[in-house]
Amino acid sequence: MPSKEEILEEAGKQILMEISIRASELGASFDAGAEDVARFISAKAAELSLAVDQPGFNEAVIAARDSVLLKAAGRAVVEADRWDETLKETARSSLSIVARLIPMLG
Amino acid sequence: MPSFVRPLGLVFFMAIAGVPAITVVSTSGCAGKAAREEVLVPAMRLASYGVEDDALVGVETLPLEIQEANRLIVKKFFGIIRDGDDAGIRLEAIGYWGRVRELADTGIEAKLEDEVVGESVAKLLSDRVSDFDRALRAYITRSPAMVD
Repeated sequence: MPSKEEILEEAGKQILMEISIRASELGASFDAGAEDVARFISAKAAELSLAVDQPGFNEAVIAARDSVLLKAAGRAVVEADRWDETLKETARSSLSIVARLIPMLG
Repeated sequence: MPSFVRPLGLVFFMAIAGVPAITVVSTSGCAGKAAREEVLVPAMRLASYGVEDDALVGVETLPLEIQEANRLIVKKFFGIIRDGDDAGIRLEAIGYWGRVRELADTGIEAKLEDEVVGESVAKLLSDRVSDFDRALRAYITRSPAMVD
């Protein structure tokens, strides 16, 4: 029969592991988001190069800038939502670990 | 061990393990809301000038008798976006967007027909309208922190 200290220590480890897994998932997601935006910028630059000699090129430059900003902002929202969701899940998991402890601590 | 020590032990454990996570959620749990207000709205505001220009060209392609009403819709929509008011965007602007988008697309076609812009330029202008659409939809989708 584990002692209360051992139960608490084990639960603490579980919570830390939970946080660590979710943090690494978030990190991977941030990297993917940054790569996605970088690819988008390259694609816009390529499209812009096709428009160089066309009428309205200045408008095209502004449109490309706007698209890049909208894309990056959209990604920021996706990542922020993921962050919120992760925090909520982490809090839920931590609470359920704590709740499981209560009967064991008698 | 005195009986009052047990709940104290549990409270201490929650303080070191469970509570920080909850505290983080309650203080930073609205990252999505902040990203919408502090990143997405400014980006939409900046892009709004170009999309508005396209939509106003679209208005000019309409029969004269309905131009003014459509111009008002365009002005009203972009006014709300630039104002950045959350309720205004969610409840009012979204209702105008379908019409404004049609006008912007029509305006880009008109610019292309009149050779004001070339094909590749028109494609970039159209993409901006689509990107604006996606941004607006991302804005009105509530963040997980706002749902609960």
